[in-house]
Amino acid sequence: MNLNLAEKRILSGVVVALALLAANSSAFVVDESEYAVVLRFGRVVTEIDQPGLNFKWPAPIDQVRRFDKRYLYQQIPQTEYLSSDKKNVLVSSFLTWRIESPKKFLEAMGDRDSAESRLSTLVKSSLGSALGARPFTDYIPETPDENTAESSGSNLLRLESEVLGGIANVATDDYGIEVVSFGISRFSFPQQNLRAVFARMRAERERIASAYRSEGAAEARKILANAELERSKILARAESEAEVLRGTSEAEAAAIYSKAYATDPEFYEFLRKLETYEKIIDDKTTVIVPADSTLLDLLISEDR
Amino acid sequence: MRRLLLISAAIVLVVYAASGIYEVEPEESGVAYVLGRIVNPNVPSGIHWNLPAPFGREVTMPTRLTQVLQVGYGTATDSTTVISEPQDLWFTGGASIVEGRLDVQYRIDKLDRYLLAHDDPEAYMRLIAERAVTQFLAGLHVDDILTTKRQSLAIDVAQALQNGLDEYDMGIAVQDLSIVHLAPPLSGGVSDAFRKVQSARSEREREIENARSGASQIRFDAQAEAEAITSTAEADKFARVNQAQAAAERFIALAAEESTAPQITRTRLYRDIVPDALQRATLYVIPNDPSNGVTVEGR
Repeated sequence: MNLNLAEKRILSGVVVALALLAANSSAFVVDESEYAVVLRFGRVVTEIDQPGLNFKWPAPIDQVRRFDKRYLYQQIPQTEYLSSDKKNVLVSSFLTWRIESPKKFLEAMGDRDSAESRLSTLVKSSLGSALGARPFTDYIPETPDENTAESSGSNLLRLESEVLGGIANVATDDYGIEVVSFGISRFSFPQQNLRAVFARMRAERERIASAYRSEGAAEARKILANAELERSKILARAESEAEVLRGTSEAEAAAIYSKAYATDPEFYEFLRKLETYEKIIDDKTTVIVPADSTLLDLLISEDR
Repeated sequence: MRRLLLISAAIVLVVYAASGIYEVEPEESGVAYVLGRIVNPNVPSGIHWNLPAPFGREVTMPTRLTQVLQVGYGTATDSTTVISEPQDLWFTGGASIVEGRLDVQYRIDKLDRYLLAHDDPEAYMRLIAERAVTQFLAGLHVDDILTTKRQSLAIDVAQALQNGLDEYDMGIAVQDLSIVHLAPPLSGGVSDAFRKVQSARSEREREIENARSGASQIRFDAQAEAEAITSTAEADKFARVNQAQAAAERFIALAAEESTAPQITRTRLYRDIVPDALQRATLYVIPNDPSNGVTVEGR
């Protein structure tokens, strides 16, 4: 082969370009956050789960598929279920999962979208049977108290682990997926049941309000009645005190009188008689006395 | 010719190498990759160099900045879900409902974990926060939630959130959780009914307070009345004793007068009283000797 210089240059340029092209389509970088699977004519030949530079046959022969190595979250759309006490309940929930075996995942699922729809179906049936096994009051108690705060929390955890248990094995064995957690993010009721809940809450409040009102009136009456009772006690005590005072004043006065009158009882008797006359005799009085009555002895002796 | 080629090749190389220079902003930190592998998980703020593309790459994100995640606002975040219900309604014990909205303040703590652990850390955070709220409220009475449990709701949810994040080492630190809104639902007139309870309660307090002040007025009046009664009695006693004293003194004086001149005194006294008295009366005197038939008629 006789090539001139220009031809040689062109040829070597083409060789370098081809080599670069081959290098570009055979070297590939696997990121820290991903798996790579090398397919040769559609069949898996290598799984790569370490980051770094890797090589494969150029394009038409080998192909690379990449999968997320991170935890993936999946929201399960709000779905209506029936509990064992025949309540229609809307549940929003979510899954956390990761691809455990990229090869199995690729063969069974293909991509994330179809994996999500399969998992979603699994969750719905598992959650449906778990919720249907127990009354809704296990989770939302009818009359909440100290105990239910504990029990409904632990019942919810049990429900979540039941659902997780129901799907984890299938996902691992058949899908190459590790489901790490299942969580219930929210309960709700269908719209018409929600209206009933609001109506019930309102009625409950109205009952409480009227209880407060009648309680206030009753309490006020009790307070006033107590005050009245106290008032009559205070007055009775004052009256009896006054009575005692009156008694002692009578006694003291009597003592003073008798002490004075003791000095001359006969004269006292005389004065008393005069006082008696003055008191008893008025214009309606008719006095009939024997002439020798002591009442008139003074009169008579006077007249004499 | 050859020299020119070399120089231009060198320039290209220098420019290419210089394209590996990158800046990390003051509020940021970075993660540097070479061929997909992390070579520096925590690049501080400043000017740095890494192998240029396609060999190296860098991710920088604000790690010193506090970010806010809102829970219970508006509608669902995931476009695949079809949710018509408002997102701020939560079930409580007794199958009641409250409205609640939370703000979670968080910071990216370890950027490499934040990038590697989860595909959508914020969305996941919102879900586990919602789960924690649902679990907390499920067993409690609505009255407790709105009053005494409000504070522990914030604490519990923040704790559950941090635990859930740490479970997967997601590199996020929850800094604070504030309850923006926690109230009875506006729908169906429920919050109005709650307000009516409030006003009924304050009316009860007012009624009781009125009764109390009425009662203390009654007590005060009774006390005053009692004091009037006893002090009247006291005054009466004083007057009675004084009167007795005066009468006694008068008597003693009179008696003294009488003892010096008995007949005169007695006669004077008699004349002072009896004639006046008898003047008013009708007086019959039956004589000692009935045959005498003398009657003395007064007036």
